[in-house]
Amino acid sequence: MLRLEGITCAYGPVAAVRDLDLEARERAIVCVLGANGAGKSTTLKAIAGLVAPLSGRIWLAGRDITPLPPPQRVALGIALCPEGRRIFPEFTVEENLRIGGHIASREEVAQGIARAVALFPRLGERIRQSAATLSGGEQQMLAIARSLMSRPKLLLLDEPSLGLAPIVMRQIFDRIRAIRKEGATVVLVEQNANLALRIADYAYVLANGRVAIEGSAKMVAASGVVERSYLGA
Amino acid sequence: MIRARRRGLPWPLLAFGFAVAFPAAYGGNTAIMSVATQCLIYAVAAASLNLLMGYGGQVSLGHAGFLAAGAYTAAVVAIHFRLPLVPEILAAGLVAAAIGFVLGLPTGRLHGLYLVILTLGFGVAVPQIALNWTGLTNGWAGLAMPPTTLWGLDLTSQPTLYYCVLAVSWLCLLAMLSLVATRSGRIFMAVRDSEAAAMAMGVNVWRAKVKVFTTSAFFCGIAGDLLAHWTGLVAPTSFPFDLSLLFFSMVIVGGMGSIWGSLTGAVLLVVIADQAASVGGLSTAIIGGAVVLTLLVAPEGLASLPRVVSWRLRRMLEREAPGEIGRFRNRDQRVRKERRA
Repeated sequence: MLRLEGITCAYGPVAAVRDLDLEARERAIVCVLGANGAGKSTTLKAIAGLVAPLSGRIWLAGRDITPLPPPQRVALGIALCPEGRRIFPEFTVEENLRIGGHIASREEVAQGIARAVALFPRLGERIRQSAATLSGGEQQMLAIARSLMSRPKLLLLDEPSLGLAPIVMRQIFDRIRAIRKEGATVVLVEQNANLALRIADYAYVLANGRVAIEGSAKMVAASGVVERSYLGA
Repeated sequence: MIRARRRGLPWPLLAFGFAVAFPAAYGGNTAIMSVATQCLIYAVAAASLNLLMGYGGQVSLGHAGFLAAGAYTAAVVAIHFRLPLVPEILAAGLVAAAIGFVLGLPTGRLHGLYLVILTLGFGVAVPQIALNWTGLTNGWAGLAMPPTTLWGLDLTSQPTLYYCVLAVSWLCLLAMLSLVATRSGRIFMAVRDSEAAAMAMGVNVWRAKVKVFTTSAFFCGIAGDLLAHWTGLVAPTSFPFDLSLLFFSMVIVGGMGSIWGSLTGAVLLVVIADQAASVGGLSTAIIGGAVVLTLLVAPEGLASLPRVVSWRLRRMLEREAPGEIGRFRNRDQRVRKERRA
């Protein structure tokens, strides 16, 4: 489904991601773990096209998408749910969803809204409410629902648990599983490693822009590598 | 647009009614009519800048340049081609829009201060170009607008000019208002709020920015056309850098992201400037004071004032009357008053 080959990204002279290889099989949940500044978000941005890699290739379903700008990647089925939610506060919940369906047709938008409400009933209750009045958890639900509006085959989630209460986190992660069940491949960037490893099939642990370890989520969880790489030892 | 729907009174309608009716009282006074006309013209210019700043999330310190482009186009078209008013207005808007398009092209790469500098340079350059391109602009002396008529009405006399400007400016304001309520408007605001999020949703951010730049310039060009009719003379000195700053102030005072706020801001600042002109040299200082005052009292501009005031009032009332405490205090006061009587 998705393959990154030797991706290097830098901000000015500082390399954030170095020679990274990553693969996500169809309908898998792949989580990318690591401490702050390990290069997790940059990796997602590179896949979405928001950051141009200095070298390396990105393949989606056998097609080289490295040179494509973000809108074309969205059209090919990649959706990024950005870190910090980035919902549009002045818009209502519905308007936020409509923006998410920017590239979709009118019927697809209507279907998408119905699907979003089915996935997150709370959003249905608040559909005409201004997004600024939502709680943190509801805003995260909205952000995820909004990125699903383009009917992505590949959903990129950047820190969906950020700033949420544990019970809300679990609700969100439960929904991520439901999204996969509907047929999407999910790449999940998380600080909350335990929670992410519980729903993921495969995990990458990054340290200083490189893959420190990769393997099935069970194996990574058992290895204790996560703790070590977080502590930088 | 969301806020306007919620508010009780149809303010825009009331304002329009007032604008239509008020020449009945002052129609004979050309000085007052002239200021009223100026208010409307500047309101269109300020609203066009607000489209760019408040909805598009970009900055321009050179909108007087677009105004000049529209005004010069109006004069050239009126003198050389003798076009009727409506095509002339459209020509002024389109020429300004073309310039706005070109100026908007680098916005994909230029952000923040760099964009400010670009627009500032543009605003400062336009009068210089007008001064030196004598073949087209007649240089320092400027171009005199030939007398224009619309359906037999003489546009150089008041209140005819006022009503014509009223009609055009209101159409422009309504057009901008409906634009921001459309899908395009939502995309402008999405780009304003978060470029990264908009991009991640497949929005072509650069195209949205160029679009908002072009549209803003279009409406400002129309304001320039009206200005040419109002002043009767289009000269390089009519478009100083101060004018761009004045539009900027109007947007801030009126409230970013509110078209009606820009109308309010324009009326307020034009009237202040007109009144302060008699004080001599102080008008700029007074306008600066008005901007600072607005930022202190209502940081979101005059448009937010009803919201801010009602919020403050509600908080005051809630503090008065949470349960019994407030009521007791009121009764105490009443008892004291009765005793005194």
